[in-house]
Amino acid sequence: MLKIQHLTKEYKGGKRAVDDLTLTVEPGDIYGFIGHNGAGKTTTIKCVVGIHDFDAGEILIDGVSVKEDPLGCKRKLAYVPDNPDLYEYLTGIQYLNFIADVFGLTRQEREERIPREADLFEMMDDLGDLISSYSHGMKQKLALIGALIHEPKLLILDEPFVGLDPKATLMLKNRMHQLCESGTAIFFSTHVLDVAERLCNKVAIIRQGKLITAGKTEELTHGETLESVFMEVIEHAENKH
Amino acid sequence: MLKTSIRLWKVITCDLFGLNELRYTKDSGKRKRALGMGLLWALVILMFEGYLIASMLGYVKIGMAEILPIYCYAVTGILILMLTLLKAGNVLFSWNSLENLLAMPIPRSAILIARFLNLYTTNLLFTAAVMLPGMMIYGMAAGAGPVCFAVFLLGILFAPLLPLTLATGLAALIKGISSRMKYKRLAEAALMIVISVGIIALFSGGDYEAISAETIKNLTNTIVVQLSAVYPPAAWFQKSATEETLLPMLALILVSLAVFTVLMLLLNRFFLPICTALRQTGTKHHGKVMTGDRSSLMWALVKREFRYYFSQSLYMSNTAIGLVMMAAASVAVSVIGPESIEAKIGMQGIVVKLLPYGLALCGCIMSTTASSVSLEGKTRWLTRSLPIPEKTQYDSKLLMALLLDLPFYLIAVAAAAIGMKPAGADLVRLIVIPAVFLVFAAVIGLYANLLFPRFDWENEVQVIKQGAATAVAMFAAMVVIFLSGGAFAAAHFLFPTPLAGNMVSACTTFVVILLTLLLYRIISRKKLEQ
Repeated sequence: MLKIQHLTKEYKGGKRAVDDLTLTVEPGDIYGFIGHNGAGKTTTIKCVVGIHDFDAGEILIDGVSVKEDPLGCKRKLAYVPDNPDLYEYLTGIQYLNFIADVFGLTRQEREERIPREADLFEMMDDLGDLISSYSHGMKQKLALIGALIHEPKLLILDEPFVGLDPKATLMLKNRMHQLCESGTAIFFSTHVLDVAERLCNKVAIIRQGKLITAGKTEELTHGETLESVFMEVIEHAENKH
Repeated sequence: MLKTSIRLWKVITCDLFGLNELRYTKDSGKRKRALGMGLLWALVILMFEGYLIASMLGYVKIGMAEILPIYCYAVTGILILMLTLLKAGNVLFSWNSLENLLAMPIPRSAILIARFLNLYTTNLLFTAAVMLPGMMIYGMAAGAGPVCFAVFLLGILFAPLLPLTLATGLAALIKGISSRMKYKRLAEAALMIVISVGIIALFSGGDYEAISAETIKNLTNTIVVQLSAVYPPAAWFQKSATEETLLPMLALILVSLAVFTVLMLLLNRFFLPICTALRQTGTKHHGKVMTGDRSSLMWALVKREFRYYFSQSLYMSNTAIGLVMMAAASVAVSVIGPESIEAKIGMQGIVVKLLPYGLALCGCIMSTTASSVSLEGKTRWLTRSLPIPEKTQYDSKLLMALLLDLPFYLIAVAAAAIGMKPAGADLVRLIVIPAVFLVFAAVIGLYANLLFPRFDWENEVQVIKQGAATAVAMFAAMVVIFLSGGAFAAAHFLFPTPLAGNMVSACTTFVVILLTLLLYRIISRKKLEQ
């Protein structure tokens, strides 16, 4: 569903944020993307969703290059950033209708999906309020609802659990499992290694823009915790430098 | 507290005109753009200074050097009052960074003073740009002594204080009243527009009919009296500078400081309640959700643009004021009758000929498109990650601007058509010229904004009032309107038949249409920088 091949992204000023990164996310995967602050996770994600251009390499979504058909690729994915700045001047329902308009959802699809997702995140009663009155967590939930109503083939989440209350975190994890069973691919970055270990069937570890290791979670951990594996591979990579 | 205020003011002001960012950025593209903008600003300042110096030298040449002190003082005062009124509320009562500051051991009054000083800094630069040439020219022409120069220098420091305080007080009053209303942004914008138009009417209400008959000496006295009448503190400055006595100037400083102190004490009392009230939004907590009808992508984007527009009072007041003036001017001319205006200025038939350009000038002061791209700000990730073609986004911004212009344009044209009953070419010009320039202003505004976008703003003021794109768009639209109107007027008055004027008007309008199409073509292919 998502193929990143030799991705390289340099920021103006010469800083190489992502360096020759290659990984593949299959349909039904819950793929965790792990790394320190500033490792290049968000930059990679922003390249995938079309917010950033990139200098070298290729990104394919469902076999289509994001450079050749960016709009077609964007129609297949949904993205939720770590700190979703939404249109604060809209109400929750106006925002969701805007997203539904962008993806061309029919009235019937809206009436079915918006209440379904809003109920799941217990946001139904708040959709008539302005987004400016929402807390950080509520904005996060609304962004997630907006990402789910058009039933994307690829869901990309940047630190999705930051700011969510425990109940919403559990709801999101359950929903991720459901989506994965229906064939949706999920690619998300996280700092919370416990969550990644329990939730993801695959993980990739990135350091200074380079992929250190990637693969099936149980194959990488071999009975150890993901935390200890992470510390070990990072330390090993640091020693090599 | 003063130390804290100054520290805070330094932090707020260090990025004035983006200088701090320019100093530390590693992005060479950003540096180049800033250099380009710097050159453009230098050109605008040079033109402004050139006009100012030429007009001052003109007064000296016809023996009216004596009006220069009051001219400088009144012009800066009135302009500061007008320009600050539209942004003071948003700077003073901005919620941005307020939460962080309130959590620190910083007195509320220090925050208030720092924000006021921020406004003062930009106005001080403007005052210096007007008063320094005034001081030099008047000083040389009148052979002034050191007291006069001292008065001018003190004037530079204190001239912004009084109009700034008045504008801040008015802006606070507007914020205070609107914060109690349900539709606070709409109410605020409406109040702001009414007061701004009122101030413009107040300061442009002088009757200059009798002036032409007076001698130069009387003329000077008349102008001094009139400027003193519309802006009384200017009379004290005039007295101090021309009679070389410090006493009226000291009185002026004391009054300015006293008014400032009273305002700060009052604002300090209401600062937080106003900030909080403006921030509050009603919540409904109902279970019923109306999913609404399906809209096309373009219409969904236009609706979003309008919703943003009506949620931002600063955006509304700054962009609607020109449109309101366009409609109001047309209605006023129609009610008063063009003949009475022509009789006053002694030029028969001029109003019906030049009104289309006048209307265009008002309507094109500031198009929403000049800031609508930058105003996406931190929410830009949404449109960039959603499947929305860039051209559709640009078209939606243009469409929104034109839909906003439409009712004002219709009122202006209908009022002028009914009131003045133009016929033939005059009627065609009345309909076509404002329409063409409104479209041109929208397109050039969008082009300027795509050329100079700014997404990292903390306060909308930085984009709407201080943005490079708005300055460029406004300047470009004005230049094109002045050139077109000037060419038409020259042809109309130089050639005996109306055909010449009509031909020139048609040609310049056609050129503007071509320019608009060319810019639109460039915009349609433009990719927005990351």
